[in-house]
Amino acid sequence: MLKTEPVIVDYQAITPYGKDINICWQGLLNNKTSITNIERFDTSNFTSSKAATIKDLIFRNRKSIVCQMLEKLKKSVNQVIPEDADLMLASLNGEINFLEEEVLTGNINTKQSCLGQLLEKTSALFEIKGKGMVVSAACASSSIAIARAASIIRSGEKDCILIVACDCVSEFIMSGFSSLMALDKQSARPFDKKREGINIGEAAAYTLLMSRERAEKENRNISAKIIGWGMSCDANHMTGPSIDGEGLYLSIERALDIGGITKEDIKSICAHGTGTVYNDAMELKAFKKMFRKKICPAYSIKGGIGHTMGAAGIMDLLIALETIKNNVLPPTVGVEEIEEQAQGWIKKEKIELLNDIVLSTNSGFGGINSALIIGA
Amino acid sequence: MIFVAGISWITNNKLGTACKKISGTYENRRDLYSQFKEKGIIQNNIKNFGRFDHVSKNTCLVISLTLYDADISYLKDNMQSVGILSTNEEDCLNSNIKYFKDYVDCGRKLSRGNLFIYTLPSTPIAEAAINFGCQGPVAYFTFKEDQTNQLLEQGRMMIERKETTDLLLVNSSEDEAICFYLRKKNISSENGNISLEKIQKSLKNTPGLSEIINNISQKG
Repeated sequence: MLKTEPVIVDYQAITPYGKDINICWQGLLNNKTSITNIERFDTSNFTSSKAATIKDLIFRNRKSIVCQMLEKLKKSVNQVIPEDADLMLASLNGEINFLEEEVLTGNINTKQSCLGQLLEKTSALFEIKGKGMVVSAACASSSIAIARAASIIRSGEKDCILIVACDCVSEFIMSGFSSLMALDKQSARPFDKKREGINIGEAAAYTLLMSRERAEKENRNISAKIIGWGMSCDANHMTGPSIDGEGLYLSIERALDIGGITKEDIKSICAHGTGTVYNDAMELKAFKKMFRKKICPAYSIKGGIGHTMGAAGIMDLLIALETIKNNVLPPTVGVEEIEEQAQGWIKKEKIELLNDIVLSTNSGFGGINSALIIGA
Repeated sequence: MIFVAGISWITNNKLGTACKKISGTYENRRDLYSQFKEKGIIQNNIKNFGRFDHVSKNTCLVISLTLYDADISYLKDNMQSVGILSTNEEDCLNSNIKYFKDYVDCGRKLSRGNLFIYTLPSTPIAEAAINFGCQGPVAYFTFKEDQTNQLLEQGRMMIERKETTDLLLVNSSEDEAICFYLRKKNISSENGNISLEKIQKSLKNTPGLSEIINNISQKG
């Protein structure tokens, strides 16, 4: 096969805002947060009780939270997903509530919470007959899955790949981030002077990638193309990002190289913007090192939707697609007093601009970084 | 062409490498770290090794042995473009159980951050990346079947597409581990680097980790 261009032909998300990506987009655009108090489990011993949760999910009683989310997602599929598609599933912890219940009942004897099991279930749910693969790379999981899929399509080895990502808010995750003192007591405030940390969020989302040739042959609606991708590791610290942003800078540099474009072509940035002091500072350093004197408008969606962990990259991509479609960047929800280093980059209100090429970045535990470049 | 510059494996009582043809037995996994230090296989101390979970320990040990097999000195400054990909069949299941059980046993009030960090499948290779200074792509993949062969295939594609120049590919469980060092160029001629294609052909129809280790250790 000849080398081709990977294009996005469909996407959808189930988020705490509602059962459609457009509801999520409108929420962010209107500066509304979906972060509320957790009702699912007792949070009185944690450093925060806030998270962005999907309200009508059954918790406990041997019900898989992420499968409930995926079932809702499947019902919201816009277009036919070809059964010959390959599947890439991105997640950090998958059906972790099964493990919680096993430990709480003292009956630990299954591998039900393993990601391979979720891969089988997701393949069956979406009726995928192609190959399946799980990608887990901390909070860059779904952006790395998208990068792998784009790479495979560009090389011509496959012409259709479905990427599905999901993670849920659980006591397991909340207790961990609480112990690391990484949670904000209020709603997350990325790039704010007084930011204190993250809020966990949950989401399930998919995007269908095809070669341009196949998409055109099937008369698919092409939303955007994946231009470039880059991955790197800080090789520095397990929970703290590098001080100088060098790892993320490397990812962006590699994405530009693969895309064959220059930094001047980038019109906006969907930042990881978790709301922790160190992550946001690191990202700004990487952006400033890359763009030098140019100020590139940026935003984070985590003050609205929370940190959706393994789904963070795909949610960033989906919102970036909306920014391209509408030529508008959403405000960074939650920010009140923009920190000095972010002045000019981050806005409290939406921005209208000709937005044809977007950089989206993610970083996670272990110093794992990713950068995606998408274009109209 | 992509070359395999080093291969090594560790089981419950054996270890070996393919290029330098090292093979040996050992009695206690806890002693392996100090044995590797004595023999110069581990050149720098692995920071916090004592608190690693089992898969992270195995991952770092098998990577040390593979770099030794490939004659690569892992001084941090020389490793910028090396990535690490890993796979296994159970993610980090036992570390997840250990973390959450400890939290529940302690009254569900406060958990241990030093256990929580091992509840990600990518943590073992992140620990390795930090220790060996690998700044290339780092990700954990798992597949419906045939984990090691599919991981080799992902590595091949990433190098061919210039997403990285060198990759360490690791299949590591709590009991055993195997690691391959892939690179675009055949730099070290002394070790008789093997083509990836040849390795992939020889491992075809060998799905399990134990079978792959047997296959490679028997062929030397």
